[in-house]
Amino acid sequence: MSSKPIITVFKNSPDEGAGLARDMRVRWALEEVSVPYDVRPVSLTDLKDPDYLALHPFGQIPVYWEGGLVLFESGAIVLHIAEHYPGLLPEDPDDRWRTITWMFAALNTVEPPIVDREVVEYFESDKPWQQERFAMVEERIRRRLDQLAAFLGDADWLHIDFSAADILMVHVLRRLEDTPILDDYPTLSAYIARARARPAYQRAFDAQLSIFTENQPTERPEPSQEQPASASASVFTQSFFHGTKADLKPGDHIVAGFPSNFLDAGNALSWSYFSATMDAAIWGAELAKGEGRERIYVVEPTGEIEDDPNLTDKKFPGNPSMSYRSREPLKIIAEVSNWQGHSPDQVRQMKDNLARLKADGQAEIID
Amino acid sequence: MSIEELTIWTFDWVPEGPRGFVRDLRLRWACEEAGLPYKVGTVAFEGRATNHLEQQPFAQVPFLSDGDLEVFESGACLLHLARKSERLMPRDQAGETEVLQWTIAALNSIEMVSVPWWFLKISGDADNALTGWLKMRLDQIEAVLSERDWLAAGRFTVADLLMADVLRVPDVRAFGERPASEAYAKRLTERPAFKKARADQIAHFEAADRV
Repeated sequence: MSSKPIITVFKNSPDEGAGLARDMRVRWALEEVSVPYDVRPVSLTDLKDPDYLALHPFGQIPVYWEGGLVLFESGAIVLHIAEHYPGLLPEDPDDRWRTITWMFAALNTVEPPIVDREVVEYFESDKPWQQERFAMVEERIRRRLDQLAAFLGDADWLHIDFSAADILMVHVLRRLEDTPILDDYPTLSAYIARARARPAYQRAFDAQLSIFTENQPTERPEPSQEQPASASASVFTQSFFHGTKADLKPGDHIVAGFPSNFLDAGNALSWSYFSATMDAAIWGAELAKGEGRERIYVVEPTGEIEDDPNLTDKKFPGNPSMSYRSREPLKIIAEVSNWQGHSPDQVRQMKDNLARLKADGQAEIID
Repeated sequence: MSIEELTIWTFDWVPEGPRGFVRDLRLRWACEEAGLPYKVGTVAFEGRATNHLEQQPFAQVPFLSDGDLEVFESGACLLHLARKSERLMPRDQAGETEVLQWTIAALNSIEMVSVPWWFLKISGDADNALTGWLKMRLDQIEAVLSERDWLAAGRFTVADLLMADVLRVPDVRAFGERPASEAYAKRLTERPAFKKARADQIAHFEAADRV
């Protein structure tokens, strides 16, 4: 098998590029073993096509091709990759089995209640018993997380070194990142953060995000004339972003000294804030004060930068949202024209949370 | 105990309800098909939440010991057994990969839906949110089984054993008319190895009633 593997991925992932779709596991495994691959983006309609169903009877992503081999089921694909390329399973036969055992544990013991929780969230939102079901399913999740955290203890990875089992387990656990459950499991949050910091994870994440970003319709008004022709975020995966409601053009500078976007009153800030992730910048734009439209700019720091202490070592250790600040001006390079905002519900929820923090007296910017 | 010896670990006793469906049956069935000798080891049902976390960090059964190696998760155990015997999985790479794919499909595309659906159903929520999802999955597997007798490699493999164990649950079988799936479940559960594994499991738990 010498040809480059190909996988199908969502053209428009329902998770909006959060990296939760099952192609992420396969991308990550391939990145870890340094095997280049190609992707075939497919739409939700394509998944129902008889030709697609002939490849994948359940009409899901990913399908994996390698030479004459066609495979479905992300767990089977990751195990196939791990068994055929060195780096994701231990050499010793017994240790290989212990690691494979943990791959199954991720998929068949830890993931099911987490998927169940999403069912309650999305399909039972109109049901009077939703809260009761949430409580039941959360209890099942917590029992598994208690057991997993106890097993992991102070080890970095599930069995000896980083392995295919960690890829699956971390990817499964990431589905809880937008819930408060993980806040009670510092061991597991640190485990996730450790895995997310791996360069292979980041390459896989950026690649899936850029597919999503590239496939968004342009909903925003015409960008200014200095705008590069294709300013989708993927072009700038290594760049920094700043979200705001201010109307700026390439060449302008953002300087410290404006009042905070996030607090009603208070002193002007002595730093300018920016991020290497689109998501953080999008929040910046959506939560910014002002009546102008929301904008994301690609920016270039002109002086020293440091981790944003407001977003570092908070929910996760380190700086997973890749948020930074600088006392020096940020130069506007371009405006990002193709991006997908959070849903109105998500924005409302975030604003509510910030309002609650403010009410609790916890809203404070470390400046 | 010889170093080669396989031991399938399960509870010493369970209530009547789950008898015939406790997952050590999957391992017994595989060993019976392959002609692999095995012993059955037990952990106490009483105190099960904490009494075997060393062997099974999630306090479940079964787990398998093979000499010094201990493996848990029925899927991982089945794959381990399948690699010991060609009767459970062909030796060529294409065949082996196809078996792996369908083994994981049984667990992650079908059972991932059927077990929580069943759980909600017996909790009294017959028309629950998972009904539509389960119907879709069962229809999809029906389409596959309408066109072939075996899931992988054109012959009986461990993938059929697992899929049949997922599909044979009475509530799942009774959920809609799916003749190909029904014929498949019937054909698989008529195999002597299944019948022996099931009878042995039931006898194992019944014996504990009399103690």
